[in-house]
Amino acid sequence: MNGGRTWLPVALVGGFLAIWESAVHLFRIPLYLLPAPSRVVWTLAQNLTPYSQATLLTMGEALAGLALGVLTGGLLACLLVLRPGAENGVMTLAILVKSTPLVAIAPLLTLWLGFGVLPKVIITALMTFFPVLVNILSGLQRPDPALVDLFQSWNASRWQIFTKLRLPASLPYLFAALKISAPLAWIGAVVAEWTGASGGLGRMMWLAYTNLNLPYMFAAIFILSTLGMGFYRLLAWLESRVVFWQPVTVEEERV
Amino acid sequence: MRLEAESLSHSYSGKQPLEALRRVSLSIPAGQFVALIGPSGCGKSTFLRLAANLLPVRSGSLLLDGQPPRAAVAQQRVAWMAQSPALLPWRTVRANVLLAGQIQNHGSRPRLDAEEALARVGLSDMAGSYPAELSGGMQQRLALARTLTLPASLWLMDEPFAALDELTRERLAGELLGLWQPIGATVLWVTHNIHEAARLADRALVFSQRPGSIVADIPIPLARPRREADPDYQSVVTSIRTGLGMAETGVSS
Ligand SMILES: Nc1ncnc2c1ncn2[C@@H]1O[C@H](COP(=O)(O)OP(=O)(O)OP(=O)(O)O)[C@@H](O)[C@H]1O
Ligand SMILES: [Mg+2]
Repeated sequence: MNGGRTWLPVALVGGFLAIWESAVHLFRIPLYLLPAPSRVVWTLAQNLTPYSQATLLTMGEALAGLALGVLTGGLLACLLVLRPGAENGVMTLAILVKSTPLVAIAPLLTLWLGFGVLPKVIITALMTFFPVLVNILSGLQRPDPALVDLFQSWNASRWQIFTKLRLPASLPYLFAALKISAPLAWIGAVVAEWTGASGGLGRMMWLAYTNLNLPYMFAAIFILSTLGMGFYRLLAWLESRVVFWQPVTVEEERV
Repeated sequence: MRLEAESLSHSYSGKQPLEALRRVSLSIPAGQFVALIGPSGCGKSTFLRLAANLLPVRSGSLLLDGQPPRAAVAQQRVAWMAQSPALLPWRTVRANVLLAGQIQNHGSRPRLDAEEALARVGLSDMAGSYPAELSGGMQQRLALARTLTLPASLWLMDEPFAALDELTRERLAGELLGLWQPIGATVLWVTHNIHEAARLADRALVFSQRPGSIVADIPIPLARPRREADPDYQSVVTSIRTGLGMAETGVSS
């Protein structure tokens, strides 16, 4: 690990927190507007059990939704490559789903499916599905043309070209998709919980918000951003392991 | 495998259609080693792609043992080596060589097994590395090894030695001739190197500038191995050079 690269972000975050802390004390900002970071951490420490339970629940929803979105998006992309005729119709449908503001659908799903886990998973899956579909599709569609020629000169079947060439060539795109989708998964789960839930970080934030209990709310935000960053780091590490042949990460498709 | 082209032309369609080959007629008997030589962009790769069924024959005809290229490729009788190495970056050197056999399902009867092919091109000690760890010349030798495992009777080789130094070229030429002679495959060997053509081939076909057509058909009836000091060798080199000169100036013989 490069020492300079590890400590610089830590120093930046530390500096930011220090400025925040001193500003709150210096300007005597009231607790109901902005709590100091120390107060937030203290609140977190005082309520470790409820926070960990809520975190586990939200994380479970986010991961389940992400898995569902990646699975459906990935499978659909494979199908579109294996049977190219369907692409236009399916893409129109996918863009329709993507264009619908999911924040507007979340309350409906809660109304229909209740306060349980299912509507959160569905919302998260809907949010993550589209970037996965678009990225994996473009990865599957454009392996190196010279390699496609090579396979064709061997008289390879469509299926052989798919499994031996297109699939591995699309792996870098899968990671690009995951790096866009993972943050969306957190957003999806939390937003869905805001619209009604029996637990989870979003639920805790909503309760804290209605009581103007800002330290409580910030504690949840701290957890979310820390987890989100940790997850991104994990993905980047996995990417360097799995797609070892790719010197730089592929540019993700804009969605 | 016998190869016959009859006023074979090819144009690429694009914003402006581009005529790459014009009325090429030639006949190559089975087992002949033919060097294709000509200015850059004259359509040599295009000719090989037509024979490998990577481009459709739309004008004129091209027959491999009396069949269209599609049929010969379907019977796995054609081996094509691209001008670029075309390697799979996620496979090791050895796995890249084995891939062709997995696709064509050679099972236990490849022409040359992977280890043997790698030894022939001098890459045995790199078998576990990945293509990104190879130099340009090594990548090309890997692509050559992969091609040599194919049980084909027509070898379409697009500048297989282009990235190699002179010594490696000579050594590999020896290896290749040793492999080729007992098999008796027909070889189309694209090169820019006059000496490579004179050293390897039974015949040299010189292409004109685009649109490519054949300006000189030079037989090379010399026994192998060939010596540069041999006056007959020198006269072959001179004829190819003269042919290339005509190709440059556009004068047809
Ligand atoms: N896919 C393509 N689309 C359009 N034009 C092409 C394509 N491939 C080749 N050409 C054109 O066709 C002509 C012949 O190309 P080709 O690759 O056959 O030349 P070549 O003789 O192999 O040249 P070199 O010795 O540089 O490899 C060139 O002018 C090139 O611009
Ligand atoms: Mg070429």
